Amino acid sequence: MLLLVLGTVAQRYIGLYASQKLFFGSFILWAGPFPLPGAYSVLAFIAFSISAKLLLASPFSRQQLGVILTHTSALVLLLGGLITALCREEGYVVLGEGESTHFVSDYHDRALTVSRNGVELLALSPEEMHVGDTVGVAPLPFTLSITRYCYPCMLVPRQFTKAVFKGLAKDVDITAKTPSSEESQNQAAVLLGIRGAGAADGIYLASEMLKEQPDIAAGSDHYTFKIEPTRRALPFSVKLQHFDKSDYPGTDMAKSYTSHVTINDNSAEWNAIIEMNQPLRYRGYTLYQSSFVENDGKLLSVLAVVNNAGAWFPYIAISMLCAGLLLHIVVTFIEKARR
Amino acid sequence: MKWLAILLLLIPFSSVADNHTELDYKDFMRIPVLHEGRIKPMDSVARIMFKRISGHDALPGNSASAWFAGVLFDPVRAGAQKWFLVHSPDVLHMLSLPESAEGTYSYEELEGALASHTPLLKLVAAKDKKDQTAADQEVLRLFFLMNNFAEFMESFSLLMPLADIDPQVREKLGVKDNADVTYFDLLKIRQTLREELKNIVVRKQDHIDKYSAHEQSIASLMYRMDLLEAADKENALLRVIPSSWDESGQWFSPWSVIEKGDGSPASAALFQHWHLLAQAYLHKDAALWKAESEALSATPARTWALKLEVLYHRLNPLGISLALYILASVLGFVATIRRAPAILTASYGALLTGAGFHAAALCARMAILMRPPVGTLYESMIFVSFIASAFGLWLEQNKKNGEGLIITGLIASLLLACASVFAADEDTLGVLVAVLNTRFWLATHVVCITTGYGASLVAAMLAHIYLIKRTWQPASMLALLEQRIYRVAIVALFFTTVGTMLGGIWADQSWGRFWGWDPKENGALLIVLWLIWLLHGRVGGQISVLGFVIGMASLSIVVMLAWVGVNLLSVGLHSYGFTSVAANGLLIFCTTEAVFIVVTSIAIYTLRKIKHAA
Amino acid sequence: MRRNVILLFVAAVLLTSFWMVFQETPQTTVQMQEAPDFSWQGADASHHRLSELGAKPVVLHFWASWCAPCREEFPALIVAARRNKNIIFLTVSGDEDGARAEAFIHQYAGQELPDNLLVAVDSTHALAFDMFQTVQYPETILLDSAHHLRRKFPGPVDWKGKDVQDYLNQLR
Repeated sequence: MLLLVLGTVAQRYIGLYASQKLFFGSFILWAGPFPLPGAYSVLAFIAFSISAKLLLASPFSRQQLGVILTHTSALVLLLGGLITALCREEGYVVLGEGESTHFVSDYHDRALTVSRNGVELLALSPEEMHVGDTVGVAPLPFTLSITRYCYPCMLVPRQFTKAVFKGLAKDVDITAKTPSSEESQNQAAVLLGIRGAGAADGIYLASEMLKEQPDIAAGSDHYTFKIEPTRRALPFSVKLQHFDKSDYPGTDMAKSYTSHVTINDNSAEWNAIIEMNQPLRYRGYTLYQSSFVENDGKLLSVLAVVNNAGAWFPYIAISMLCAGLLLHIVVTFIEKARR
Repeated sequence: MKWLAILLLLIPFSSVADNHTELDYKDFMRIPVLHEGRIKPMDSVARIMFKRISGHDALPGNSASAWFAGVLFDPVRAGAQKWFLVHSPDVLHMLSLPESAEGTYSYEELEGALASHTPLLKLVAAKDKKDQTAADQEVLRLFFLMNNFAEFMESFSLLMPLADIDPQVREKLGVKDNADVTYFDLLKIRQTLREELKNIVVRKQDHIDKYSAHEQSIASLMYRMDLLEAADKENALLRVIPSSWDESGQWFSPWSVIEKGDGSPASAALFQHWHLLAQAYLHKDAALWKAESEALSATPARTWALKLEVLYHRLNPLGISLALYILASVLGFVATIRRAPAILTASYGALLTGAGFHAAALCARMAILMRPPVGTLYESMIFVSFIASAFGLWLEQNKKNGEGLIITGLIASLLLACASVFAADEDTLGVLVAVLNTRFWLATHVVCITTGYGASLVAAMLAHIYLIKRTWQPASMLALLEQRIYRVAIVALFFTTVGTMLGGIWADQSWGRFWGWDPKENGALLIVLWLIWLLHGRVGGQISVLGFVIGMASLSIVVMLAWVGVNLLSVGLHSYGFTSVAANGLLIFCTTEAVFIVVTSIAIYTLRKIKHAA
Repeated sequence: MRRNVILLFVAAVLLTSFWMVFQETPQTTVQMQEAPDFSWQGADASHHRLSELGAKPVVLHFWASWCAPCREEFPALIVAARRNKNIIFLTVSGDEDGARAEAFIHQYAGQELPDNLLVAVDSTHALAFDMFQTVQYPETILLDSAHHLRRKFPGPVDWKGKDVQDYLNQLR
């Protein structure tokens, strides 16, 4: 309970995501030098105690059936939570009318993508690349190294420039920034070192905050580098046919938004509707109408895509819980009536 | 805003200073208007504006609608009257306004003050929301309020009489010498006037001194028309004309109808009615006023819902309930002390009647809004207080000793009073944002959780009574009361748990995650865990009876924090309301409760020790 | 007994509220207005009424010769009139001088006007302004064969466009 209170208050200051990771997604929460149990530890302990009670201290009788059922449902819920924490993947998709994609962008993970002559070649995870390591990845004719990577990042003017800095990196430096409670304001940037590309060697700046991307010529090819949300492939593609936003008449407050999409799975095509509170479920993925953005007067639909093997556990748990509670009430009632 | 100049172009006289109280506003109040997302009676719009401007619900002895009619049809006078409430000395200082005894200012004064402080306003508006002080926010609020007020004032400027109309123009229009001529009338012959002006300019250029009287009047008329059009063609706030052509249920203001070309025979008829209504107001023609407002109130919309809404605001059933609940708790208290069954019955009757009005209010809200009555913090408060009073009645049925009456009288009164704080300057019959716009989940999850909150509060209050009584009675005498607390706690646990789970399912259906450690989810979980912990302890014997009761009494703090406190944090998907008055109220409540519990506990322990020693 | 009554009452309240909750919000469908049986004066000072036209769809077009977009639109309008013989094209001119309006039309449509193209002179603007609230020219209103007001185009119409042509084809 203490954890709940602290974690909730913290959300105001460090934002929902950060608080979730810190308080509720961890085993140990450090309060200065003192280790306190994080949510994972607490929940593990609760699960353990319930199991212990059920196995060791619950006589199986008709009277106790409701109670046992109820407690088991709690276990099921926790189990579902565990599976969700381990397996769940979520991301988002932004589509304008007529656009289609079969990639889902991650909310928090960032990837460094390298494209050759406009064609995407590979994606690396900047978090996994350690600062200073030199990485040579085929088919790149040069090596990459990370001079500095931060997320969230802030752009600052460079104090002393050196010849090794090329492009925007000549005048701009990056430094870590305190996470903002508004997730969209946390953006990544990287100082990327390139070696082996001849005259183009140097340290370049790639960032989500900038429109310009580092572009080098090595041999007869052009390579561009981009930092962007990690993308995962979907086993099908989604195309937005039409996006409907209806406002309350006379206001610009949205009343409902609907996306009319076409799903294409290996050339089998069919239309579907995704709207607020009514998602589309297909092949283990669930697509929700999350929100929309306006870009140059055009409305773009934002869909959230979730893939969760543990999604059905809470439903099972609730049914069990209700059954257990009702059963308990009925049984107790009958007992009282008997006496 | 050269509103004053513009409006002075129109009205050849300033109307006599009286309130037009001889006009019957009954039908005017029911005229449908599309405002803030739904169709409401004119009366509701009037009340909201009046509340936002003056902080009061209505004038004594006069209705908000009467005031609003003045704003619409006699804007010059309305602008000069002191209605705007500005009580913050910081704001007054920022705008260089003199402090006044009642703290009220006229639109004129405020407009002047805001106009001369435009750079300051820009600075304040550019600040990040977190950096804005309370005075900054108040100044911005005033600014937007003034804009709205100005827009309302100019809604009918196209139907207001213009001054100095040349007799030749009158002839062209075919109107008599003393009849009103409005901008709208002149639109008909605008092309002719334009051509005439063109001729004049071709002949005499812009040497106005060389123009004849007639030519001067034409030029001035065209100029005034252009000025008026430029100022008001975007006027869209008072949407009283249903669109004849737009399928989406759009309504337009009179100016918008012209701007967008949405006219039709139906809108022409409505314009005619509004024109006559304005005339009736200015000439204080009661008969014409009544006829025209009656005709206008028949504009197609859900007439019975409009009537209901006007009645709802006039009757104020929640206010009546509050009064009755307070009465019931007082009488109940008196009845228990003096053991007078007659007073007890009276108390029961008061609670029952109060609950009846309360239920009627909730049903009316449902009928008006066509959705379950639990969409905002305000609505959830009035719903929970209803649950509390329903519980009280049930408790009282079971054991007729006034306890039920006192507790629920108290809870219900407290909550209704709090709710009015959250009403503030909001329209309490508002529409919901897209994500909440789902009747199914409102009816299931929200109703369940708020019922759970209500039950928890009732259990907590019963625990309070136990603690009070325990200071002079031994535990054995209070065994039944303790059992009752236990039972209500179980009910509370059921509803809060099921409600929380349903909330998770809703979240899963809408946003793809069952549980997000969101403040509101955490709050609900806190209540559930608290109850589970206490109940398990009680059943398993690890917590003493007294410990259990103290825990239950503290439940009130937990519930209020989880419910109201969470909104104040305003983080995450669940944040729908925030004010600092509420923060203070919450703090006071929690402190009082904590003090109460600590004091009674200490008293009980000390008295127990004394008894053991004796 | 009393408890049963109370329970029954509570159940009834709950049921009605649930039923009401799941009712669909009544859509405020725009009620189809019927055009008033207006009268007009032809260029030859003859008087006519809407009901005289019989059960035929009508394109009610408000214009004036001093309005530039009207002049630009006119040729395409004439073509549309020739193409849709079952629809009456009632062109209502806001010109003060009826003869000028007529001359203008003949200039575009030739000496022989198609049967379904009618000319009305509305110099007092009683029809355009007072009845139909046409403030700016041009404006076009489409009536079906029962003379209900179906659609309005404030401003010039692209008579050659597919959208309009389809709509005219469907207009019954």
